[in-house]
Amino acid sequence: MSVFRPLIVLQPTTFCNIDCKYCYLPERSKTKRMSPEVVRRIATEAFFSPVFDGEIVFLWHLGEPLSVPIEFYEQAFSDIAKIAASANRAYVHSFQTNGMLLDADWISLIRRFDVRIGVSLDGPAFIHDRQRIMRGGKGTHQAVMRGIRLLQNNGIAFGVIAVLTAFSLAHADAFFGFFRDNGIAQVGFNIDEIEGVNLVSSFSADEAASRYKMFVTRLIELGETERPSVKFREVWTTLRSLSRDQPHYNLANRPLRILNVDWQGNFSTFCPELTAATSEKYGDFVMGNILHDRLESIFDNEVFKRVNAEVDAGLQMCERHCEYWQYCGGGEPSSKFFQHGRFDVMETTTCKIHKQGTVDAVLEHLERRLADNNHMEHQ
Amino acid sequence: MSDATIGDRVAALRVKLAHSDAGKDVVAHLSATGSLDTDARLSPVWDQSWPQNWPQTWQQAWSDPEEA
Repeated sequence: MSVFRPLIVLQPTTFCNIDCKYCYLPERSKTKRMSPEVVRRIATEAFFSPVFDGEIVFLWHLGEPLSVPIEFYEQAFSDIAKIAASANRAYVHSFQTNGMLLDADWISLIRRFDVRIGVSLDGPAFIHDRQRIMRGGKGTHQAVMRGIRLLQNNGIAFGVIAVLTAFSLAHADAFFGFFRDNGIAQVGFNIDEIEGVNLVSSFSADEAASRYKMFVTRLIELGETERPSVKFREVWTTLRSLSRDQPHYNLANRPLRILNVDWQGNFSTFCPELTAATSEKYGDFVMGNILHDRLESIFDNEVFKRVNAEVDAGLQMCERHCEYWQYCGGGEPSSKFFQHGRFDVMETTTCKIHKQGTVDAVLEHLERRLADNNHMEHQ
Repeated sequence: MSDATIGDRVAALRVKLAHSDAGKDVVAHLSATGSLDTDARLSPVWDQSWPQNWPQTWQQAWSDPEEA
């Protein structure tokens, strides 16, 4: 059995109640919703297909998952539970949410079904409200924090994903202090990328990589001294790959470690961001439909075969030529596609900033710490 | 910094952290503060990319990297 858990990213709805400036999803004003039949077919395929083993994670995302009625999940979770029981399989549910629609009823559902929660929050209001806004332009920070208080007051653990823009990088202390002061202990960050319908990135400037490295370095320093501390996903995952002579694992660049299923039942693999992509060469990246196709048929799908061959070629280039390979595991296919229009390429801007910048920051920090300790020993 | 590759630097780092007094002090400090460990599977999305038998703490990670 694999030690990795398959991740199934489900789009319960195309709709999002807010309109973030960097969002890559093209249909977030439409209210299309996944049918119960699609949910049941996904669960049946996931639990009975030979392509998945181990505990499965169902991540409800690709639109605001709490913008559909609670009854949708009452039925979906109940159907999935029955199918899992008949297959004797383990699973967990997770919402990646903006948290604004949380109320007592959602808290009850989250508790009953032990749903893991990730909240999208970019830091203090003066950073968050620049990008994460309502359709009328009003910032969403206050409403997100109300949702976070509700989670905290009910003892529900959650992680935060913050999207960094070039603006955020100038405010490491405020960024750290905000999470520390609000009792938010675990934060991961994504970076503002060109992807999907987001055609502009604030990270296109050349100095972004060095500014990102300074930002991460400052977060590490604060993490060591400030209490309560805040732990950053990028730091601890990099530490683990630096500490062990095993290649870093990238979930998104191997087939069927992630399965993406849109509201219609169209499925694909690799990065969820590709569900928002179209191209002449790869079409809309659909590799099958769960209502008509078995999951394992993906291996015979022409789009899959073309994408997989290119992704694999790109990974081989990363492995042969990039000195960060051991600590990265290969670039994100979606970053390669959105930057270069293809997958059989090596380095992207995201690699330079998010991956290499983190490795450089953590490694240099540890080297400095060792030098300081050596110096003290010899005094 | 010298012309050493990232791989060379990481190899040297692993040895120092695991075996030198200075390195053990650094690991002890980081373990004591817990500031760089992950202690929970809060977000399945984050946890995905890590085999479940991988070390969860600094001390586990650096105690004897040669055995990994």
